[in-house]
Amino acid sequence: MPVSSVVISCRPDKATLVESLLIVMPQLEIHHRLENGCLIAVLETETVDAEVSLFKEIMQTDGVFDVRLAYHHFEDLQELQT
Amino acid sequence: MDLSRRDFIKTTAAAAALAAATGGKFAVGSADAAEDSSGLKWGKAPCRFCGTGCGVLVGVKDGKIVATKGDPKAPVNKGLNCIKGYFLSKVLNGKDRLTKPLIRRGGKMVEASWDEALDLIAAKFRESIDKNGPDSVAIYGSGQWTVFEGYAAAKLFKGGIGTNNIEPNARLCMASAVTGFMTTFASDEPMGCYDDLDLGDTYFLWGANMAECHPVLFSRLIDNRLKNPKVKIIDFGTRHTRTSQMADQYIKFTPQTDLALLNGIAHVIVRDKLYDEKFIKNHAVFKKGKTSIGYGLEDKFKFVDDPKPITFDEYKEFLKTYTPEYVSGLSGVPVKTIEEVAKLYADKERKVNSLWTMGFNQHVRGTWANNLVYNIHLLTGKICKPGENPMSLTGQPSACGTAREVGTFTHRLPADMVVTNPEHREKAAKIWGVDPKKIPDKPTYNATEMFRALDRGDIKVVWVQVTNPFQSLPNLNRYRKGARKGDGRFVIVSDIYPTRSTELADVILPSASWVEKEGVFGNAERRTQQWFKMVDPPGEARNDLWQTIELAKRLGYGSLFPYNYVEKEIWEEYRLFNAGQGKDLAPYEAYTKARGLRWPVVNGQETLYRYAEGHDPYVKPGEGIKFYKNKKDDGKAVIWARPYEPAAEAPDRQYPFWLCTGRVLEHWHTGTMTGRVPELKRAYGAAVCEIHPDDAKKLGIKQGGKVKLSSRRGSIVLTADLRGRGKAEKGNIFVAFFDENKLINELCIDAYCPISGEPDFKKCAVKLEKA
Repeated sequence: MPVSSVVISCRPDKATLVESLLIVMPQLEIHHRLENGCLIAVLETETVDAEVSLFKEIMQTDGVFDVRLAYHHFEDLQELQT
Repeated sequence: MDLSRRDFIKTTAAAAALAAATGGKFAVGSADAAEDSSGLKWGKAPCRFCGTGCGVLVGVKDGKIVATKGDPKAPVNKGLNCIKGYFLSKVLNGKDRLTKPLIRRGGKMVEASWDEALDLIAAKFRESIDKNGPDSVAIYGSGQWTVFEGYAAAKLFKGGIGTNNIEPNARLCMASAVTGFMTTFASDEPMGCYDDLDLGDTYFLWGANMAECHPVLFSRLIDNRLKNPKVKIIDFGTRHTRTSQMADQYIKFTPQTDLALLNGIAHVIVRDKLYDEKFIKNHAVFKKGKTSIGYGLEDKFKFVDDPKPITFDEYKEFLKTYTPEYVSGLSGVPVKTIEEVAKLYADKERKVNSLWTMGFNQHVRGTWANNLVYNIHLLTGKICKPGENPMSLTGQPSACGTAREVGTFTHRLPADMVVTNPEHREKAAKIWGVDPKKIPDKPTYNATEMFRALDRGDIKVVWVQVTNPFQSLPNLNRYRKGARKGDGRFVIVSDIYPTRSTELADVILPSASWVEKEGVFGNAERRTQQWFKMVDPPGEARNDLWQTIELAKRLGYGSLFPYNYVEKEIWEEYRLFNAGQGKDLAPYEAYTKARGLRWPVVNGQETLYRYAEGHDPYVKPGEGIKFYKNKKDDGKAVIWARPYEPAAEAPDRQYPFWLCTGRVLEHWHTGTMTGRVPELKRAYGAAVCEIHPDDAKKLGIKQGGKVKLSSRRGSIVLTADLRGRGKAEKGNIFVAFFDENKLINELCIDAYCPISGEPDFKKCAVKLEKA
């Protein structure tokens, strides 16, 4: 299962709303909330496909204007392929 | 993976994101330790995809890549990547990677040894050269060639074989930017850098969907706007995109009328005396060129401009036509908006930037569009200053570093030099150790003409490296058929996966990619970035540099490549071209440590702003701004009188819609890498046909229904999309070109800018029917 971390940018005044919308998404854990409205989340999914879908879902969430990928670990995928 | 290791990785991932989001304030441990506590060895590399040049750290364990992260030390992206970061995990590991050379025998591709394949290629080259001359063989590369690969190809073909038959696919994406820079400043590539995204307050985007195609740079713009309420983003476009949604203002215009709009903006600036008179007097001259210059639709089309100096008054007279009312009539942009935009451009309290990509470049008057946007910055003096610059963005990781700086075009030599100049040929020949007469003094074919020549049979042997022309060329049917016409034609394709080009090849060579080899790329802000090989390529795959040098040896040109540490020695040789030319590069060693350096690099210092005193070491104290590369105009830049002229093919009764092609967030270019990952392919599986709901209603087309799209050159059946994240304007259709099963480029016209040779993938006439 791949693991990735993302930085989610949203309007500071919408950060609470965004957090409440994201927190219900399975496979996503919010680790930090910064003063400027950025949320730090870890995505843990079965496949890269699911990671990409989740990334796009976050992007389309009301109040979110940007999502960026910080870290992507996919050691298990390598194990599956070999 | 056990639970404790999994938890450890999750903590590491969260820490990396936190560190990047806080600019390292909460960094945990060393971000780029050679080997971290989880047993991963990390190495730096620029991202494999677009021209932004984001820094990536690649984590390797037991000889395999198992992790990637945004490089916190990389100034471009500061530890964060876009969605394409996910693609890096698998693009090297697709199940159908090419791992053995393949030779066509009896209509089938059969495995062969490297010696067999290379001996056959060399024999075909020799046979064709002996029978038809050196101009019957060619190499077609790309802005994804490493600097070493592009340099070796140019040296072999121009200095060894003795033909100028070398072109990159960058001709299809960046050539108009090059000729724009060359005609205005006499030197390619921008004066500013990405720092302008943080330092400016007014951003005009022209034909650029940055949010999807350059997301990391767009993020920098959005971050700037969050910190500074003065920041405005104005998106000029012919299609409503994710960028338009995020912009403060979206201004739609009729395709091709950007030329009129740019002149309209200049008209208002001149009419209302909003220009910077002192700047113009000291730093600009005025010129006009030929008009009604054609569209390159005929084979062997030739065009030579005839620049003539004009006065400021004559330029003012030229602009008189472009009243806001006249421009509004052509473009559909309200008069009031044109007036407002012009005033915003000229506002002395604003730091103004223009950013553009393919909307300007893939344009039958692409050079002119580039000239016209520079005009506005030169009229207002908003150029060569931190936070105030025009900036052409690139689409490929080394369109600048390799195609443009090494000069892998038919007419070019490294460092802005051209084959038509005897002194330039002399210099190149001296560095290469060949007779100057070996380098032909005339360019041969631009990319489109190269494949026309293959179709006609004037070119018999073509080697394609790191690109997919038989999906990406316009008017594709002609060139796909041409490649398989027989009669001595022989096509070689080096790639990492089967593509729509390998299916037409006589020999397929398996290549190494990205961190499977050592490389250097150069990004859109003049930043040169190096990486080392980190993993082995699969099977017998070898890098394209090795492949080219092996051909050279078999053709008797092995002495051109007398290297031990090939990459480093090529770099040091290549640097000789750039030294003292305002394009200086650092010794190889410097790039192995730095997260890239922006040239010119003089005395170990990179240059953020070209032509500007205090930044550019070539500008002497007291000169302020000096466009020193334009010696023939006394170090001044050129403001061009370039008119509006219509597109090569506009909608009519038979074909009533404009067709525009482009990219989407999930896929990169022809999808040969992103399309290899089955999960990603499902995320945006097939190209769709974006239609305005009103147009769809008139034709009885519903969301998700099948439509037949046709031009004078071909037809294609697609699924209608009326409410995707990209929204076509009325009378316009948009289709992405990544889908190998839906070759939209079969419909595109192969008209090109007569000055740059770059085709117009953004405008042709099509009809739409319910399928």
